[in-house]
Amino acid sequence: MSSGIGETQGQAVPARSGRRRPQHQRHSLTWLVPTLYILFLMLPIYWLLNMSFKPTNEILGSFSLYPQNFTLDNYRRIFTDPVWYWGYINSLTYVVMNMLLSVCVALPAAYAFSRYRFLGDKHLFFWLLTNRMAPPAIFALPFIQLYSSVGLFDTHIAVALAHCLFNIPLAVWILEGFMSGVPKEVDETAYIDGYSFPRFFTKIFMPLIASGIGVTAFFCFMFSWVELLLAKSLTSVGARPIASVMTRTSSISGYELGMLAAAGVLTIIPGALVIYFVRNYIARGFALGRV
Amino acid sequence: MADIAIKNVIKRYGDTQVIHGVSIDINDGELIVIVGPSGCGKSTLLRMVAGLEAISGGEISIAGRVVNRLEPKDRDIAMVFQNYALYPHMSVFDNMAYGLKIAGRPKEEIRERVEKAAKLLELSALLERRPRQLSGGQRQRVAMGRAIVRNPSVFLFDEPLSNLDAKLRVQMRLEIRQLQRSLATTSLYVTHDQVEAMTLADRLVVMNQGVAEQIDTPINIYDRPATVFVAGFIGSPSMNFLPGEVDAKGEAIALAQGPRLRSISQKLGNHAGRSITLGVRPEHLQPVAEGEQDFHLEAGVVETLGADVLVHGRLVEAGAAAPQVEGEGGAGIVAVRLPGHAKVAEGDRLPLKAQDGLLHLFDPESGKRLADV
Repeated sequence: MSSGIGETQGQAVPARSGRRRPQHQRHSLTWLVPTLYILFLMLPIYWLLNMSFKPTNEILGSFSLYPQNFTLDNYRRIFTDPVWYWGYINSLTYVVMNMLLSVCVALPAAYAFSRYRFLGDKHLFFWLLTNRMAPPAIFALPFIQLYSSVGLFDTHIAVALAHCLFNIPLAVWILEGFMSGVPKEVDETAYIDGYSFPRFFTKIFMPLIASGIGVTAFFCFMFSWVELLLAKSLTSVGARPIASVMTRTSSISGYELGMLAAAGVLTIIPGALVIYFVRNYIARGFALGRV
Repeated sequence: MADIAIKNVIKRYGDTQVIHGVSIDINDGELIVIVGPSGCGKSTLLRMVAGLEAISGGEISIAGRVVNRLEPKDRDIAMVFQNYALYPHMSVFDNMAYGLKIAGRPKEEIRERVEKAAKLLELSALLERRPRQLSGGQRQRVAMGRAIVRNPSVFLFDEPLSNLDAKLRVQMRLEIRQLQRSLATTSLYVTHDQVEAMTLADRLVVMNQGVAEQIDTPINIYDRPATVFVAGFIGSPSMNFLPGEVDAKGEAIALAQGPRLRSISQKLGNHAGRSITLGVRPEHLQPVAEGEQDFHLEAGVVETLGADVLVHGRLVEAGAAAPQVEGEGGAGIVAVRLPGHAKVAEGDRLPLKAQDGLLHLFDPESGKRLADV
């Protein structure tokens, strides 16, 4: 769009100025599209924020662009009611567990895929990715019975393990991409220098792919944090995730929409925090570590 | 300080054998260059000496100790790679010091040794920098420094100059030579660049398809190449190969393209009547006065290099019309190196004489050297 406007103006200018046009003729409307787009994106988030500061009656009663009766009550109740705040603690617990598990398991696996050739390596590598193509729901039933039989039902580790099914393949793919970006000669130099393998891996190799590990952890976080179905069906009381708590907001006084909105806002925050730390590498993560 | 003995070493990947029994004896303090086209197994051989590839057969010993089953770190070697393989997250100092740190040397000694090596390589001002802040040549020096500080008994170089631009390569080549001389450390150096090989080597190993075709000093290899492959690989531009036949008396060589060489002084009685491949280097074809020539060259492409002129053309007999093109592409093309400012234009017919005593006869079947003429 910007170049389109530029062209038309360029024709009016005498030919000697050629393709280089003065800056002030350029900026006219170029801000419009991105602004509209961002407004569009931010609107639901703003509305969520807006609702979270209103009492439920105002939400149900009238349509207002900003809270008429501003209140922090919704947040206060979430932070004081153990059912609510334990929802967050539970969710964060299994998400962090899953992140650690996935990265720790995927690191050696990705190293093997990146550095060694073995029978069926390419097929196995691709098969890993196909794991991501199954909807999580189909695994809910087997997981429930398996976990119940070994006494893992309604524990954090149960959810963390279930999420590994999807996150480890992804982590292996991302890490393998980052690892293959490190020349093999670095490994070999280290062996000649006299490193043992564990020492090389932790002192040389992991620092070299630190950004990759960060991005991998972020992706694990993202999938585990937003996954609802498995988390909900594998827990009842002890490890109940926040998303599950949020589905039970109907009380004697009807739906508590204000609290629901406040809980939603709080759910966005951890993701936003985590994404801030890996913002420079996130694109490479989406490319599965390949440049 | 150590000598290296490579005895009948074989490398197999599954069913494919890539190195077919190579034996090299390397004396203490010698710089041996392994040269060959890509895929000839030269890097694999070096990596077997380093311990980065398993040895499928034969024996490698360093300083009298068989190292076949030793880990790289126990072989007392240092290796410099083509891509330098510096640790990008460490300073130049740490890159050079890390090997010593692992070996558990005291801090004082590490500092001393790194600074000494840095001084030798003119890196003293750069010790705090990260590898990515250095130029290609400087990175190359750091990689060398990392090898030097450990004071190993063997240096291994795997095409260390291939990533540098042409000018820097010439300069680093000299530096490596000086450094190796002053340290007198036994070195194995792999390259595909025959000029690099000739200038650096005490002795040269020319490899082709997993076989060491010839092991000798650079000048001996240039003067008396053992096979057609070696003759063609060493020297630039390549040696000209002309199919022909020794006449019945063994006094002249009749070339398949027509002309006869009568100027050979040595009798070839042993090879009388035999078909041969005649090898003659472009610099050993001399322009002579009309009438004294062995043959004429009809000039095709003329390359003026300043110091000399390269003429590529076809052989013709005196007076005869230019022969029909045989084969495709470069087949039948002969290159001649003429001194300085020789004036040659395309289509000129140059009377040339092959210099007596600087010709090579090869068996066309096996490619082996038969005789000098």
